[in-house]
Amino acid sequence: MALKIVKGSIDRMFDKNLQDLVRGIRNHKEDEAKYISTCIDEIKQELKQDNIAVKANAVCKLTYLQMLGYDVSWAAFNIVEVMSSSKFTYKRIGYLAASQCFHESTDVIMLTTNQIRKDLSSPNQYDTGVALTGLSCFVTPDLARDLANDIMTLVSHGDCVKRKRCSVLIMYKVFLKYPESLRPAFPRLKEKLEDPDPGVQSAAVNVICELARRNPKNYLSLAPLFFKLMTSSTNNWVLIKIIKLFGALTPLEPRLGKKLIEPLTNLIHSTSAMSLLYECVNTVIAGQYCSSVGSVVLCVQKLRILIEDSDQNLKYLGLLAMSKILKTHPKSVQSHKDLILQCLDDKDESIRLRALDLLYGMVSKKNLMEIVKKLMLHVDKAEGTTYRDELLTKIIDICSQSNYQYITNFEWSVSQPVTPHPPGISVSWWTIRVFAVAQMATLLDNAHLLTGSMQRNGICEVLYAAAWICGEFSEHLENPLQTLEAMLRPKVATLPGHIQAVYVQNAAKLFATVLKSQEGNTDSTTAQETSQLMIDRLPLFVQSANLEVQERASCILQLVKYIQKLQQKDVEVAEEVIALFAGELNPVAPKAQKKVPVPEGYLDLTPPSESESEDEQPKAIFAKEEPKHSRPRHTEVDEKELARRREARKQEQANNPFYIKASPSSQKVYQDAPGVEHIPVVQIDLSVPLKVPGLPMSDQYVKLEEERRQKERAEKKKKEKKKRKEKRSGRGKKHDSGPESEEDITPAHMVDIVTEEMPEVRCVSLQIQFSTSRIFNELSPSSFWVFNEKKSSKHKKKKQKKEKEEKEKKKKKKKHHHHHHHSDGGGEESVQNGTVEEEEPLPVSVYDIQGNLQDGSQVVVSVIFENKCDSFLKSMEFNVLDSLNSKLQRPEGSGPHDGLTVPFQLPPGVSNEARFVFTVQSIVMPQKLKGTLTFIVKNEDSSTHEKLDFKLHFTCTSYLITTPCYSDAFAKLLESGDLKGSSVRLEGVNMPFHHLLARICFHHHFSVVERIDSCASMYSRSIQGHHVCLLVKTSGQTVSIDAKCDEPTLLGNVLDEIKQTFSQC
Amino acid sequence: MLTRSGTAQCSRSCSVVQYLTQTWSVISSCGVYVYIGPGNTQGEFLCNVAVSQKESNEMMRFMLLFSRQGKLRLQKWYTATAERDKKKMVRELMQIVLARKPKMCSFLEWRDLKIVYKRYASLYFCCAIEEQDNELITLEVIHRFVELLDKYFGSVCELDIIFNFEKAYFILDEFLMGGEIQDTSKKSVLKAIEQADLLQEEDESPRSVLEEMGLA
Repeated sequence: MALKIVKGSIDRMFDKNLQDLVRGIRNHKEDEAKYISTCIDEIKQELKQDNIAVKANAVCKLTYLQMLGYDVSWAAFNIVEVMSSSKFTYKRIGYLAASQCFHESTDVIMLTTNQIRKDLSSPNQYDTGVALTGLSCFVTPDLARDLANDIMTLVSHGDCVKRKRCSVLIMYKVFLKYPESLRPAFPRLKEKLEDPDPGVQSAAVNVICELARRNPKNYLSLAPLFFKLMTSSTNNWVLIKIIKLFGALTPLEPRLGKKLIEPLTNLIHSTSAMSLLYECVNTVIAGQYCSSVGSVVLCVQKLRILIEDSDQNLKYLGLLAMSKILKTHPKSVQSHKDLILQCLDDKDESIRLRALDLLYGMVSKKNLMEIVKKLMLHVDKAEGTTYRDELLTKIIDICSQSNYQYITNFEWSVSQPVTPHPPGISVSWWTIRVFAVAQMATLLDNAHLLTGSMQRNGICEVLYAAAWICGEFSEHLENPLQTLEAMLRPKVATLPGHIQAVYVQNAAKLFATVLKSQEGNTDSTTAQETSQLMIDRLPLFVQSANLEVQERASCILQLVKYIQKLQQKDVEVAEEVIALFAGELNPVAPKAQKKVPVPEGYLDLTPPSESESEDEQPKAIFAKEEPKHSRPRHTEVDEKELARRREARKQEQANNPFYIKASPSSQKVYQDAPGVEHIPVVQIDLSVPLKVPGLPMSDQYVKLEEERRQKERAEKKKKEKKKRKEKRSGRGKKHDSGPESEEDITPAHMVDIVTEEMPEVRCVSLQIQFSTSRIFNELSPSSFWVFNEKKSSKHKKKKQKKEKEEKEKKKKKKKHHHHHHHSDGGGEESVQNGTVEEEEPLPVSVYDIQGNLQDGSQVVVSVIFENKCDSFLKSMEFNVLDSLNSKLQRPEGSGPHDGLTVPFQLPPGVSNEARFVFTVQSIVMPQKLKGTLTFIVKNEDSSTHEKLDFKLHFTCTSYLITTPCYSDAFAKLLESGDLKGSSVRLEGVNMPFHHLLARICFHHHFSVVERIDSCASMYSRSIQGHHVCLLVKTSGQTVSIDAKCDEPTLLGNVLDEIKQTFSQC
Repeated sequence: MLTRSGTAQCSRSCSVVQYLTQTWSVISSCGVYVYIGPGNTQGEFLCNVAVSQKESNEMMRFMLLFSRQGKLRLQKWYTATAERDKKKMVRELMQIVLARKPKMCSFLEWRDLKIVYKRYASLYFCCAIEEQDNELITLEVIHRFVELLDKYFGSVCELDIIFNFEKAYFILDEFLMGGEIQDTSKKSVLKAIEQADLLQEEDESPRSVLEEMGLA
C-alpha cells in the first residue's frame, strides 16, 4: 500500500502539470491538434489512477483544454470525483471545472447534490465559497429545489459576512430555477435590505431589483423602503440598481414619478460618477417624468456635456440617449443640431452612425437643405464603403421622409444626384420640368460614374426615373441625340432589368423626337444615322434575360427597321412615329394636368426665390387668400399683400423685444457656403466618385439661394435703418425694432451713450461685458457694480467724474454703477476703503455673478479689474471670507483662509477679467460675502502694499438661468400642483408693458412663455432645478405679479429683487 | 504590464475610471415618503417569476478575455449555454471586436445584447450585458477586474493569465457571482483570495517539496 502511494507520487513528478501543458501547446504551434490529442490520451491515463492529486491535475488541464474548444464532457464524472475531495486545493479545482463544463443537461449533476449540501454547511468558509460559486454557474431546477433550504439557512445564520453576501446573490438563481422557493424566502430577503453590512444590503438590493424588473407589480409595496435607501445610500452600484428598479416601477404607479423627479435631478446635478449620471438621465427619459420639461432640458444639457466630452464612450452614450429623447421631445434636441453635425466628423464610425440616426429625426422643412448639403460633403470624404452606403441611404431616407413633405424646393432636390424621384414629381410640377429634364440628361450621360456603386445601393433607381423623365419630356432636351446615345450604351445592360426596360422604351421616344427635329431638314443623314444607331444597339437588349426588356426591345427593333426602310424611300415618317407615342403615352399628362385644380402652394413654387421668403412668414397668409384668383392677379395681390405683411411682421418684431435677428452663427454658415465650390473634388481618393461632373447645380443652387437671402437681409436692414431715422424724428410714436428696443433696457442704453460720449476705459470694459452677455444669454450683467473707485484729487479725474454724474442725472438711468458715495438700492454698499490714502490710486472692478450650468452648486463670479492709476499693480490676491453657505473654491492643499492669486498683473490703464468659482449650498437666500483684495502698487522708486475691502452680493436672481419653456409644458408645470404661489404688486410703474417684460427678462433671467395683450407668463429655472413661473399683469400704472415656484423662500427673494428693480426707475 | 503600458489607450481608461471612482456627495434625504400601494399579498409572487419566457435576466451574460491574435484566454458564462452556441458566439464576437479601430468607443450592439469591451495591452476584456444594463458601470467592472489581476499578480501580463488561468478564474469568482458584483471592495476580494491560497499551500506543502525535486 505504502509502495503504491510512493509510486503514485513518483509518477506525478513526471506528469505534465498545467504549466507544462500550456508551454507544450505554445511550442507546438504547427501541429497543435496532434499534440493535444496525445495530451488528452495522457490525461485519460491519469484519470484512471487512484491518486486524487493526479486526478485534480488532469482535471485542471482539461479545464484549460475546454477553453480552447475541446470537448471534455466525457470527464464529467472525474470532475465530480475531484469536487468531492476533502482537500480544499482539489475541491477548488473540481468546482472550477464543473462551473466551466457543466450545464443543465449534464447528467452527473444529480450526483453532486449531497456533496454540495455538505460543502455549504462546511465549517470552512472557503469550502462554502467555492460551492456557492460553482452552484451559481450550474444550478438546475432539481438542485435549486433540493438546496433552497440550505441556502436559506446560510442567508439567515451564516456567520461570515462574505458568504452571506454570496448566498443572498445565489438566491436569485434559485428563484429563477425553482420559483416556489420565492414565497417562503421573500420575508428574509426583505430583512436583508436593512442588514447592517452594506455588502449584504447591496446584494439584497441586487436580487430584488432583478426580480422586480421581471414582475414589477409585486414590488410596489417596497417603494418607500427603496426610496429611503436611494436618498441615504452613497454606493453608486446600489444606487444604479435602485434607480433601475424605480424605472420599472414608475409605469405602474405614475405618482412615483413625481416623487422621484426631485431626488433624480438632484443626483444628476450632484454626481460626478458618469455611470450614475447616465443611469439617472436614462431613467428620466424612459420614465413617466417627461411631464416636467425642466428635467428634460436638464437631461439634454447634461447629454450635451457628454457628447462634447473627448471620451468616445461618453460621446456614444450621449448620442444614444439623445435619440431616445428625440422620440418624445424633438424640439429640445433640435436646438443641438450643430453638435450632432459636428459628430459626423468624428473618427469613430459608430459615433457617426449614431449621429446620422439622430439627424434623420431632426430634419424639418427649414434645415433640410443645410443638413443634406452637409451630408453630401461627408459622402465625398467618407472612407469605407459600409459607412458611405449608410450615409447615402440616410440622405435618401431623409429626403423622402413622409412622402417628401419636407422638401420645399424641388428644383434643389432634383439637382441632388442621389435623391430618387418618383416620376410623379416631374409630372405634376411641370414648371420645373425643363430644369429637371436637363438635369436628368446630364445624369444619364454620366451614368457610368454611378454604376460602380450601383449594385450595392439604391442609386440606380435614380436612373430609372431619369430615363423616364428624359423620354417623356424629350421635347425639352437640348440634344436628344446625345441622350439617346447615352441610353443605348452597352454598359446599360448591367443595370437591373426593370431599369433596362424603361431605358429601351424611352429610347424609342427619344428616337421619335430626333426624327421629328430632323423632319424639315433636307439632309436626312442624321435621321438615318439615328435609325442605324438604334438598329446597332438594340440587339443587345433583345438578348436580355429579362423578359420585359427582351419583348420591348424586339418590338422596337422591328419598328425601327421598318422606319429605316421608309426613310430610305424618303418617306416622311416622323409625324407618324410621334403619333405612335402621342397616342400611347402623352394624353395623360397634359390633360390630366389641366383637370387638376391648381394647388394652393403652387404659385409660390414658380419663382423659387419667392417661396423661400414666404417661408418665414406665418402660414396664415395662405389661408386668408382667396383661392380663386387667376394667376397674374394673384401675384400682384401677393406682392402687395406681401409688402403689407412684411410691414406688419416688422412691427410685431419691433414689439417683441425678444426677437433675435439672424444669429452670428448662422451667418457664419452662409459665409462659408460660397467656398464650397472650391473644394477640390479631384483630390479625393474614391473608387467611385459620387460627384457627377455635369451636376454643379446643387451647390450653385444653394449658393444662389444664399445670395438671395443675403440680398433680402440687406434690404431688410435698409428698411430698418430708414425706420430708425423715422423713429428718431418722430420719437415714441412708432414701435422700435429689435435692436432699438434694447436701447430702452437700461444697461444697454447706458453703455451705448456712455461710449459715444465719454470714451473712458471703464465704460469700455463695461461694454465688453455687455456684448458677451448678449451672446450668451444666460450670462446676464444684471449685477454690475463698481464697488470702489479712486477718490482722486487730480483735476482731470474729477472732471471726468463730474461729467459722468451729470450724464447720469440727465439720463435718469438706473444706478448700475456707482461711485463710492452712492449706495445701491439693492442694498450692497460700495465699500469705501478707509485705509487708502487720498492720493492712492486704486483699481476699479466690476463683477458679474453667474450660475454654473454644469453644477447646481457652483456659481462663477467674473470680476473685471481695471487699473485707473498711473502705477503698476502686481501680486493681486483675491480673498473672500467664506460663509457657511458659500465658499470660494480654492486649489487643493490651500487652507480655508488663503487668498487666490489673480493670474495677471495690471499696467496702468489696463483692465482684465478673472473668474472665481464659489460653491453654494443653498440658493434660496441672497447672501453677501466680505472680501479683500491685496496688491502691490509699484512706482518707479517705491512699492507699497495695499488692501481693498469689498462685498460681493449674491442675489437670488443670479442663481436663475434663462431657460426657454414652451407654453404647453408651462401649463403642465402649473397644473402639476407642486408649486407654491406668492404675489407682489408694483405701483407707479410708468413704462410700456413690453419694456417691463424686457426688464424682467434682462435683470432677472426670465424668458417670456406667452404674451396676451397686457398679460404675460414667464419662466426661469434655478441652477438647482427649481422652476419659477410668473404671471405678469398690468393695468394703468399698477403691475401685479403672481408667481409660483417649488421653493417658496427662493420665490419670495426673487420677487423682492424684482420689486427692487422697479422701485429704482 | 497591463494597466501601466502608458499607451493612449491607458490614459483614456484612466479618465473613465476617474469619473467613475470619484467620490460624490450625498443629497440629504428630504424626508419624503412615497405612496404605499394597496395591501399586497405576497401570494402573487409565486406564479410570476416563472412566467417570463426570456432566457434570463442577469446583469451580465458572459465575460470573455481574448488576445489580439484572437486566442481565447478566459471565458465565464453566467447563463447555461450549449457548448456549440458558446463557440459560435465567441468566434463571431471576437471577429467583430478585433476589427474595430483603436479610437472607437467601447460599446456595440450585437444580437439582442450590448457588448462592452476594453483593451488592455494585448488583451481584450469583453462583457455582454442586456438591453437595460448600464454600459459605464460594466466598463468599471472590467476595470476593477483588471486592477484585481494587477494587484494579485503584480503588474499582470497576458502570460500570467495563460499560465495561471485557474487563479484568474478564482479572482473573477470572488469578485462577480452569477453576473452580479458580490464584493465592491478590492481589498476584501484580494484578502479572500490570499487566504484561500494559504489554505491551498497547507494542503499542498508535501507535494510541493516533491515537485521541487522533480522540477529541479
